[in-house]
Amino acid sequence: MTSYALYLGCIGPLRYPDIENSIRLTFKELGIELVDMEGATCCPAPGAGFKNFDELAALTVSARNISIAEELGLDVMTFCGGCQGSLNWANKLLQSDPERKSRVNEILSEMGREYRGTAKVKHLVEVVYEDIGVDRIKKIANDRLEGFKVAVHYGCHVLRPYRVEELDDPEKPHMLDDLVKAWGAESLEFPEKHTCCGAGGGLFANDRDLSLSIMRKKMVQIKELEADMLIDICPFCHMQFDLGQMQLREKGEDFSTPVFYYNQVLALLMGFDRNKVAFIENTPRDEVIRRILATERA
Amino acid sequence: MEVIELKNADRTLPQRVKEFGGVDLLACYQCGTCSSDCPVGTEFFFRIRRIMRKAALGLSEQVLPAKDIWCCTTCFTCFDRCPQDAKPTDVILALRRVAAREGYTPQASRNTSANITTFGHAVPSLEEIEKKREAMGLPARPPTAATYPEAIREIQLIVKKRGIAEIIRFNWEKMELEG
Repeated sequence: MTSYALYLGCIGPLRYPDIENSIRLTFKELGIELVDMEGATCCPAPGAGFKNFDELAALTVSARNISIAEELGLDVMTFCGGCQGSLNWANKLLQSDPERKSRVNEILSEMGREYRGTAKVKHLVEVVYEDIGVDRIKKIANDRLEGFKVAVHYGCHVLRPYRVEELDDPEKPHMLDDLVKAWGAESLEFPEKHTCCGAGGGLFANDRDLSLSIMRKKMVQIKELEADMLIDICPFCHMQFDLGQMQLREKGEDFSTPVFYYNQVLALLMGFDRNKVAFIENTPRDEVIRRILATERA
Repeated sequence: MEVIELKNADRTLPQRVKEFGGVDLLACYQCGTCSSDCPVGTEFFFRIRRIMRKAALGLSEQVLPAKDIWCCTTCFTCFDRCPQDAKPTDVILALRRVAAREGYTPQASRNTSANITTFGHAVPSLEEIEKKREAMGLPARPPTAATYPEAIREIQLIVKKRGIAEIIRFNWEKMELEG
């Protein structure tokens, strides 16, 4: 059986645990074992946390997290762009820089830990694409979402910097598009498709209005295309779109595109109860969930 | 036209940027790829090309106290596209580190690091979310620092070793930020 150490991060388990549960349930059914990383902490955020103040502190926190997976003898699977950005950056930098690695281990040794650099750090989209595969998703979905228009959002740190992530072409990525098309749905093309959601770098909290105006630029196009839903693969981008649209509505604007993490819709297609996989939301999803569930009987 | 008096420039700034981010500001030849690709630049007068140049010239008084360096979303688009590999995103992070050491840090960024120090997470666990976790059959708190207090103590050791509390002005006795 394929197994990964499941790195939870912060926003997933502490704000949108329905995303976490949708991942746990779908992966279990698809035969991928996810082992908990007990005592893991914040990654600690690529541009909002310790990395703003001290590079070695950020590296040490990331290395501590990765060392938990190393003890389990497993590669890490993240499901957040930010977590992926932090952990993969730290992992690759420390694997190639013995001096930084020894400074990190000097601190970790005081807590009885050691970072070896033996584990890989993969984002969920890579695991779904490579280990589960588009064909398997196609069989599950059976073209049920034919006629659904989907706007996909990869999230910056899943793809960039390319020299760290080395996953999909950040200028024209295809993995998430392929995985959405595997449901039978249409993946929409629009000018701001690959633009940042506006939440990263601490901007979400530092300047909410500016952060929202970046998101709004995307949402205007997604709304014009009459997308049935927006699909993301990062809980922080997810929060930006879900909560952010509500905040724009509070200012009198009409933005209400339903937002899902990829595995939430996958879980619905696999027959899991909506109340276990997709029920925490600020932007209503009831209508589109009803339409998704109705395709089963069609 | 604004005249910049370089005789008052802070010649140490490029060196400090290098020290805190390992980047060479002189690699930038001001092509403007970074500014034209920037998702923030279309919404606000944020021009990463100007920041790169001002930092290279040592205009600390213009760069370090301004909010601009805290408006980057770290999307790394400019980082990937820069033809000179001048790593603009890393320059921004280095400038934040320099600015923070001079006392220029937005409250929200201090809060996030204070949260990581206090909870081991960027956000605290909330009772209403814990109830929702339990309703799905998950433990009320995830099996992370939210469950294991020794993990938080390990993060606090890293914070102490690296002097983060001093930079963000975090009071260990009150377990909160000062001012």
